[in-house]
Amino acid sequence: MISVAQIFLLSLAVLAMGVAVLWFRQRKIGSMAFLLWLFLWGGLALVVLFPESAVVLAHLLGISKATDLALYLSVILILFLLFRVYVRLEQVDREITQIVRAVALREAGLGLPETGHGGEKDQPGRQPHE
Amino acid sequence: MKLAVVIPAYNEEFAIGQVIQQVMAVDLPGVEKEIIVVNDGSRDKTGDIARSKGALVVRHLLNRGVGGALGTGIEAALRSGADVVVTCDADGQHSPDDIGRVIEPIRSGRADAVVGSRMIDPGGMPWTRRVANHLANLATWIILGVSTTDSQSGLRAFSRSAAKRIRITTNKYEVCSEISGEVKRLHLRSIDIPIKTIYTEYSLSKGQGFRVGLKTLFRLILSKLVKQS
Repeated sequence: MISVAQIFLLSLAVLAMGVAVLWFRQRKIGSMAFLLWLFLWGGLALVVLFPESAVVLAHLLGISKATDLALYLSVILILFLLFRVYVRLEQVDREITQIVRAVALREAGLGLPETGHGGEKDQPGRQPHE
Repeated sequence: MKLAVVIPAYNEEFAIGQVIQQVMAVDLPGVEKEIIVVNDGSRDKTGDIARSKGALVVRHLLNRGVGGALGTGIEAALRSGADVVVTCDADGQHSPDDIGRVIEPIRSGRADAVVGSRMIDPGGMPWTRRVANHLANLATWIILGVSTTDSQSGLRAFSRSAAKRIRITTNKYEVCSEISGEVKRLHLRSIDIPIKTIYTEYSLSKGQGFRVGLKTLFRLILSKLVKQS
């Protein structure tokens, strides 16, 4: 017999997977994120349908309670996501530096001409110091 | 021969003027000197003072950290036609006379990159700094596989071709280790030369303390994991 909670969680999982498929098709998320998302919600759906499977899995991993397993998994997931945000932030930081650098060099009269190929052979005209 | 001395500076109005004057006063026969100060988003008069002392000032609109500033300064040096590039701290901890010593192996063709090492003869260095620098060298060795006597030195020299090939991607203090890593990756001939360090209350307050050092370590590890764009 399926309970109300089970129906609710199942529809949530189906909805989330549907959204993931949609985003993946629209190329809003990469294939890695897509698979991870599918795997997570698929796993949740499985556990909701067959609650016993969580207990079996927990015991296999040497964890006594299924809720403990869920707790550990969510902490690992959150740490992973946090790390990804950190890496992304670092990338953005480096991109900002590239912009700031380009502006600084141009302002100092050391910018490359718009048509240049980025080589230093172009020897851009230096402006005299202000 | 054209020498560019790159000085990254962030809120250094108390020291920058004197540093520029000292560097200008160094007598290097046959060398045309240009001082390039990267004003790294300072909120004080660093830029104005540097300009009034005759340095070429390249201004970062936002503070990017010493790594970002070094990258900009080296690029500016290359674009203004430098044959040799020297990087130098803005806090006055280096003795300007050492500039001649670090560029000598490059002028004579013995090396592509030179590290002015404060650790070969660390007399006068507070013991906390000595320990910190040893730890930094150890971390650089573990993470990047580069063995150096002073991984955190701010006084370095590069030949033009070396400076062109070295890619600086990091923004903050981890740049010091990154440069050491680049020297190894590109198989550049590198020499460590002993230099003096002038520790004043001011230069000590400007360096990396324990907390910043830990942050640098974390960022160095992180930089190994970030895709190069």
